[in-house]
Amino acid sequence: MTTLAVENLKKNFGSTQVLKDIDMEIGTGDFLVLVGPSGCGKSTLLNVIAGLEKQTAGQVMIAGRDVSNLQPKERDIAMVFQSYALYPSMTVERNIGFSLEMAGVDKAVRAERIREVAELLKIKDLLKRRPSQLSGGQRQRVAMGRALVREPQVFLFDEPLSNLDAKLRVDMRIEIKKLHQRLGATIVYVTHDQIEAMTMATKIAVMKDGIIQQFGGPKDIYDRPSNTFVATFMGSPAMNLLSGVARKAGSEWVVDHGSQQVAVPRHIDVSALREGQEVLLGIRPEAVHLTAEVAHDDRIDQVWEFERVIDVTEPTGPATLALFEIDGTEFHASLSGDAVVEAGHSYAFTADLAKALVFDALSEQRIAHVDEAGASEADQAA
Amino acid sequence: MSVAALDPAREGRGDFDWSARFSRFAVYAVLVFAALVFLVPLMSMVFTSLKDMDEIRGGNLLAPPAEVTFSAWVKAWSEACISVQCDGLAPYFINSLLIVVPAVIISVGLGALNGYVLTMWRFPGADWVFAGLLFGCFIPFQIVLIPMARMLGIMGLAGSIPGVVFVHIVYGIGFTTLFFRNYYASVPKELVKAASVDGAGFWGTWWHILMPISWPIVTVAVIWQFTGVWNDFLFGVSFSSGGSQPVTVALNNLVNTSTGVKEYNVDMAGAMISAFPTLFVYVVAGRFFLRGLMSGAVKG
Amino acid sequence: MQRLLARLMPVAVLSPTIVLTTIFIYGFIAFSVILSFTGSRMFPRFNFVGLDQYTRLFANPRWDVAVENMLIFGFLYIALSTLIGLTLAILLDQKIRNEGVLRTIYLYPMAISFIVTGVIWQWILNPGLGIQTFVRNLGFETFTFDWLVQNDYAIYCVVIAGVWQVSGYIMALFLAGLRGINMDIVNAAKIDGAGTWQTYRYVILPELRPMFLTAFVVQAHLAIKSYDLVVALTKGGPGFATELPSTFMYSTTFTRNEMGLGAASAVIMLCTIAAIVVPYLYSEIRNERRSA
Repeated sequence: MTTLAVENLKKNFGSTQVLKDIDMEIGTGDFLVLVGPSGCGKSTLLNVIAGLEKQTAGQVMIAGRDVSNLQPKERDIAMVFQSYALYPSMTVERNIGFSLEMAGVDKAVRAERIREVAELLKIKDLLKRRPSQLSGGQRQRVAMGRALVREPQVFLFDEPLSNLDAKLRVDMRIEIKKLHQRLGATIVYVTHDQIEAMTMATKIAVMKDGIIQQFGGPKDIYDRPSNTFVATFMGSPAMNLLSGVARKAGSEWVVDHGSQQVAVPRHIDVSALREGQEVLLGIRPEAVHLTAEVAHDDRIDQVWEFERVIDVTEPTGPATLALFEIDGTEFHASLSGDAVVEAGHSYAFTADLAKALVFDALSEQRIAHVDEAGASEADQAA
Repeated sequence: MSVAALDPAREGRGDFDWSARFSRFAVYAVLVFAALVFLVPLMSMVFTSLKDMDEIRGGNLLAPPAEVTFSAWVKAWSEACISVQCDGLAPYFINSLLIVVPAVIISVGLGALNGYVLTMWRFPGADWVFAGLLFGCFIPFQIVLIPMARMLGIMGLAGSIPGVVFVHIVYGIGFTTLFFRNYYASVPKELVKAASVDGAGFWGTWWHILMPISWPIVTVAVIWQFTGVWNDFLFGVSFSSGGSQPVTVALNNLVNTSTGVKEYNVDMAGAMISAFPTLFVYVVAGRFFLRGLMSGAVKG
Repeated sequence: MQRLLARLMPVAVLSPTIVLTTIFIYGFIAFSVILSFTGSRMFPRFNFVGLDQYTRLFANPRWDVAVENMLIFGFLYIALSTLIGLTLAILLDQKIRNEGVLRTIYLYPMAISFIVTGVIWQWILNPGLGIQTFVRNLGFETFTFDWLVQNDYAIYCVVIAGVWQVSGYIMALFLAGLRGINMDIVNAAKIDGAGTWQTYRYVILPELRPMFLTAFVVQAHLAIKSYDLVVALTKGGPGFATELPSTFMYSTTFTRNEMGLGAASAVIMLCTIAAIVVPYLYSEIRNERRSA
């Protein structure tokens, strides 16, 4: 069932178009993450959904109701803010219960609901305190409690974890995910952190310049990014992009990038390629291995093998990052943590082409895969 | 009519938009009305100063002058009788200038140095010194009038311009120190440490590192002191006499001790003349004036 | 030697200020306090008379009038300028076009002296040619507005002029407070279902509490120190109907040559201000240290 739908939504600030024709919908229980660089319009979109800002054109539907012209309080939503936005003059208890108080809910009922939420979030001991007496993580919980107590159709989260330190952020991430699984709530969550997006979402909308670049499940977004922006934005270190020219060598298509020719991966629909077309070959760092380590791995089917001198290594523990150059382009490889490599030495690398992608260099759009050939329009609609 | 107004989505929601529009109108109405109330006295003052007494007796204090005459301004500036002398406000205006210039320069200079020491070269007891200065900003000056009158007599400065200047410096340091201290408190201490690593001493650090970034707060302090000293009445009336009085005292004498028919146009012209310097500063540098007011009330 | 000099330099630089403050503020306060226990008249004399001057002060009907006026003036001045200042600040905070121009207009009276303010309002409020005549000429011939010359009402004229002068300042204080409020809190209140009035009542005004305190201290201290305004507007009259402690102190000391009595009144003024300002400054400094 569709819980939230946004149709032809536009938002201008003066002459600046912040949102250009946004269309999307999510079902009950979906966890939608709006992700993108700062200034991409994701927070504005959230504010328009909340009713804190008025759309220039288009509609917002919540649970089948057109709420485009309703006040925030009439939209059946709750919001968790980046700054938590707890009312400093009120106790935790009153903060959580404030929306019920405003709605004229009976005091005893209110107290019961507050108690339930406090139990759920393990903040029962904090109820009498004021926000200034809480730690960052505790404030975060209270802010969520304030949203939970309303039992709304949709929860809106505006970068709720960005003010926490790294360790707490990971803990809260898991906690929110658990809550989502437990309550089956519908959530729209804004973040600029692609790891948060990947780990929490059931649906991701990657935004840039007021446009949704891609809308889909996390795996889809990661494995089949619709363009180079999505490809490089999601994943860290970012996907390597090698520029080259598509050529037909006999019956096989290759990407010719000067010193070397790399076979176009088999899953790519080559009928979309033209001889001499400028393309970008996208290879994720984790698809590059030391040849020595994978020589006997027969799961790897189509490969590109090359030798390079490593410029810098960055051991992170679970993985060792190696940085080198290929024809003037910086190239990252994410090797296994056990890999013994040293900067300044040359090594043989094997890139697994099963996951490589090809983009048109001009439009920056991904060349379709064989299994989706001719279905690209349908794909967009889904 | 805008395109948005034609948007079908808006149809049928007229009630909502109307009430929003009405409350918006009401907000502007109140604000503009308040602005008029604030402006009317100034307007009436200007109009009246440009009328002759016959027109003023007509009794319309809000009407613009039927015939503009500057005679009241001329009289207030150079002819009106103040106590026994009939040279207008001009000599007292000069007195105010002679008082304000040294008083502002010296009190701001001392305040800058004090602020520097109190933030960057803290020593035991610095907080007490600051607290003592701060309290001094708020005392009712009546408490120092009697001893100060005696003291100026002993120093040979009684009834003189240097005496008034001295008093303004003494009671101005508190606020100027407060300004600079709060301003320098937001300057990273590393800056001074870096300067000291680079070999700058006490004075070098102040002059080369802090002063070049201090101009906003210098402006604030100068405007604050200028306004305060120019507008002062109590010290002027207490510690100056006859020929050394500032313009505020002279204006009060002009308005409140004139014998015979009250010449409101001359009073208003005189008020305009004595208000002009600070109003001028306010109009060209209101931002800094406001900043002074704010930090005079709240710290930081 | 050099290092000793370097260590002494900060204190040396500060010493003129320390000396001046010690003598001219604290020394003089002590001197005035001592005088208030003497029978000094035209010149300071050190014939101690105990608390006699204070007894005389509180028995003095003129001082009674001054204190009563102070209470009336102080209360109305603070209440009205807070009300007006807060209202203007809230309205100005509604994304108003030309906000800068309006702010400039509201605040300009703070830039002119109390003397000029007094002179202007003396002109506007004088029953002969001011507002009263203006309204009568409009056709309301029985209209009467002659507070300035009425014993019982002249003090309200001082209130009007004082409020006119200071309201813009209070507006600026509250506006700064409003601008310092996290907009997310206001948005959260909207989502929580609070209307405009409830948002102000439960969320915004509680946030302005420090500003109320600051405004109160500023206004109370200005009110108690008020001197110039009364002198220029009413000369303390009619009679001594608008006498304030400040004008009482001045005339007692310098025109009626009752220095001991004048000093006693000044000490009372100081104590009143200190009772308001010292706790405020103490808490400000403590907050600053805590946050540092």
